[in-house]
Amino acid sequence: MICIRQKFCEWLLLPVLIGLGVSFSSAAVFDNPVNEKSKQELSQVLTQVTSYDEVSGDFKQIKTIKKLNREFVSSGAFRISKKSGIVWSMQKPFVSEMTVNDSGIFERSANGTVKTISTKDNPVFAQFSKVIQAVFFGNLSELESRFSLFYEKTPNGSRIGLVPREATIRKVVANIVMDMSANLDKVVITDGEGSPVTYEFTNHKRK
Amino acid sequence: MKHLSLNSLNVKTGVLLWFVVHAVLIALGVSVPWKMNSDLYSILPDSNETKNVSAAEKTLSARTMRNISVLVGHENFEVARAAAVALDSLLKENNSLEETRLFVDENSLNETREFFYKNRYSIQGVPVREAVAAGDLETLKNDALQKIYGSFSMSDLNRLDEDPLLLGEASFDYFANHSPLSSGSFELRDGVLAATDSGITYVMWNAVLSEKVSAMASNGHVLECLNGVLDSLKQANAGLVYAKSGAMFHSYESSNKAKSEIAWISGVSISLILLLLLFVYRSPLPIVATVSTIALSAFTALSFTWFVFENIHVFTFVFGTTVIGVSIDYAVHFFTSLKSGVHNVRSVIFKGLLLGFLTTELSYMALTFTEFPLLRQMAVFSMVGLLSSFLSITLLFHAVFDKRNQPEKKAGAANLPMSIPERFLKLYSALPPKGARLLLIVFALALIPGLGMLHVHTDLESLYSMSAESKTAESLSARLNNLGVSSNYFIVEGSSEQEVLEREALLSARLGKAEQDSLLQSHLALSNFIPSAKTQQATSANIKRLILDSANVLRPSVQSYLKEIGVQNDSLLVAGFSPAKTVPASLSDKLPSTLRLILQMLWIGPVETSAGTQFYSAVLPLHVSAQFDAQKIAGDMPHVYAVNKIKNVNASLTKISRMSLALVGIAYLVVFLVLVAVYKLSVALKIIRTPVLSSLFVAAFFGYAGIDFNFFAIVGVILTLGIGIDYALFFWEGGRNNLVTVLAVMLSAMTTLISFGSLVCSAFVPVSTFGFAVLLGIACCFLLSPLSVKH
Repeated sequence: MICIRQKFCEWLLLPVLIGLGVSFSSAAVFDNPVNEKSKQELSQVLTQVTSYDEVSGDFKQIKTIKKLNREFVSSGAFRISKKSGIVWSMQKPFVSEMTVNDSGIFERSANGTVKTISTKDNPVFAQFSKVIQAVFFGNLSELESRFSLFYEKTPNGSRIGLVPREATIRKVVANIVMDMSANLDKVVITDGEGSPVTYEFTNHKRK
Repeated sequence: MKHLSLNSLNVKTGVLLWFVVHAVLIALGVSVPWKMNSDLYSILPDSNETKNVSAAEKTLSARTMRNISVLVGHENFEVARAAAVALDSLLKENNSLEETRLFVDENSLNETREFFYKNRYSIQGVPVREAVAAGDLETLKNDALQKIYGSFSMSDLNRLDEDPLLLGEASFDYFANHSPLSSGSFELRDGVLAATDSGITYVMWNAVLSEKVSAMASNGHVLECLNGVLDSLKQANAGLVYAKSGAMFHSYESSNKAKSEIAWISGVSISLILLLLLFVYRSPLPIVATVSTIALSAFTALSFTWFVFENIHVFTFVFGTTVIGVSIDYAVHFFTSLKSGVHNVRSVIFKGLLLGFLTTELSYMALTFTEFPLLRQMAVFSMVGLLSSFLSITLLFHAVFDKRNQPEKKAGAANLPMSIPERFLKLYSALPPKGARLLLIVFALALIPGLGMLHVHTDLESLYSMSAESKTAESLSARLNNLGVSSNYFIVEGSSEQEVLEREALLSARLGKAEQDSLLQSHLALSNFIPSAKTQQATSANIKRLILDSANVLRPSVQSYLKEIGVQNDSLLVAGFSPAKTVPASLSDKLPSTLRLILQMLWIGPVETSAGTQFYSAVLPLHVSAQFDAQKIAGDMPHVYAVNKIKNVNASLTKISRMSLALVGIAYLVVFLVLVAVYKLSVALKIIRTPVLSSLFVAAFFGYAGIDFNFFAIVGVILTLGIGIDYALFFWEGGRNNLVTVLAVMLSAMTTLISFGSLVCSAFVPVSTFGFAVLLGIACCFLLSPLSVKH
């Protein structure tokens, strides 16, 4: 019985990894594992990028399926609030919304149906919620516990690379690259087969 | 009764008879293989509810019992992990472990996903099944689009051309969402599962014990080895803690404790008894002879019981040793009379001994009619043991010790401590006959309120209390796993694998409704993940009908959807409906490890029953509310049985207790009639009132004290009825002023009180309750029996 839980936990942790995202597909960052010195810089960058009570803006998501040579593009608005959590409002190609906060994960689909996973009933999703929020609110220790960290400076700011510590998860999510200047600008999540999902964030408004 | 056949047997014939009886009984036992059963579950009686599925329930319980878990914790995860790795490497080669689990298999996720993809047209959860049955393509399309375009979606889109509606992903999602194991706090960390509680990070290690592992403690037991490894790891890593969870740990610890307890209790009581006998007889001969008789009785009883039942439960042996208490009485009577100078002891004590033997045998015989195998084994064991003792005393002792041809000395020889029985008798001599009667009436009346307060009930949970350490460990494990398994569950029966899955689905639908009514949070049923072939075929046909028309051409709405998501080649989708690709999955297929574990947990499989081979599975309701009524849910569903092991066993034990009392009551009626035939009505009443009043006294005492009159107390009372009547009989036969009889009864009572009284010191509530009931009953019998004498 316990092993089923093991497998299930593995599955549940996958969205956590994706949720961490801000990215790039540049592999160069992975030549620079975080050391004591760069860790301090990374911490400062994260603190600076996430020093808000609430930030909102637009996002564009591009899912590239290499095998099919096809891309699926969606776009919409996001709002990240330290008080009320993270809201992803997709506008195109259809309207849907996902909210992640301490109470749970709520997904409203195009036909209006709402799926809810309460963190109270599901501690694993509570962790998922916690980790996503940790990323956007700059919780380095939480990231460090789940990923091998890589960091480099870029002409426009900084780039962070995350590689899941768990081999099981690496089979599904190979790595995550986050590009940031004053804000989180881009996240690329590359799956086990090398297909990337790119998130581009624009029009940041801080409160 | 004066010319009883055994009493008149000549010495040679008697010894021959003794030899033949013992030889036959032992030979029968030796002719069969000896098997000792120590499975704790197997001794529990079946309730009416579970009788039909008893074998299936026992198979499941035994399997569950073999699962153990250890949480290895430390403030530092690395230390906890290293210790867990060491534990695993030290134990994984142990022959007593079928498997150990520490590391997470990194391929399991893809393997599971692949299985559900492969069976996407057959295996679907309830929402998709309902949608396709209703021809609702729109819902399926919207769900797929949400997965394709939505954020944080984990769906694998690489096979979109083959599976544009992402039915494989839908099936996999349903499995993941309905697997009840999402509720635990464990997460994958460095290849193992870890969870943090109160600042300590625990790493989970699991193992499955092999079937040969006994629940009873023994030298070299695998749990002893496990405890040794854990203690070493704890010494090597400061701050390391561990929590062990699993029923086997409790059985092992209890039996381990019982072993040392039995050793000191029996050591003390045997020493006291030997000292007492030595004090009275001043010679080792009676003691050696008595101990030899007891040993022979026990061996003969063991042999014959083995022959009758093919195996003996270890508890039968433990409780069956009560036969020693009775056997010793016969020997005591013989040697007390012998020491007092009686030359033909058998002729003096035979009538009392025979009546005592018959009445005790009748009480035990009554127990053979109960529906509790353990009680039946105990009864047969005791009956044979007692027969052996009786024959040894009346035939062998008579031949060896009786000085039949020598002139008789005056009774009451000075080499026995007669001053004690003399003083004891004086107490009763002061009582006039009317005073004695009045005393008995007052005594009987005083029992009535207590009997009114009596609560005949057995609650197994109140009889076992975990150690503080075990309680903390189980509580931690339950908190971190948060699985929500309750003591209620269901067993589904069918004549085939498919019939079980079909019946399970009906039960699952009913549980789903109960979930909507908040009676439970979820449930775990195998058919939710691998439905019956019938359901799979229906799902497959419905999906095909939704996507293809009768000419196997894509429906326009599907074509439009494919265009929307950029699928150019629709042949892959159509090819997926070939008969070879829509064969229903079965339990015997090569399943992914995640499903195999659920299968191992829930699928009981074929079991031989009186109705032939039947198939069984378990369905577990999770996080049930106080209002959840499993009986009501299973109520009108044929072949679905609600099981609550503890509740069912409690009810059965209570019922068996009542039935045992009734049977012993009937046996006593027969005893009474025998006594009336042998003596006369008034004498029979005098004799029988002693054990009856004593048994009522025990019951009234429990009533006054507000203690449940449970199964173990009732067994104690039955024993009181069996043994206690002997005292009254011996007193009646010996006469009021026969100091030898008084001394013999005193000695008998003292030995019984010492052996059963010492059980009161046991930390095990069932044992101490049993000992306490016998102690009270025998003490009362002893005190009342002088009132049943000839003047």
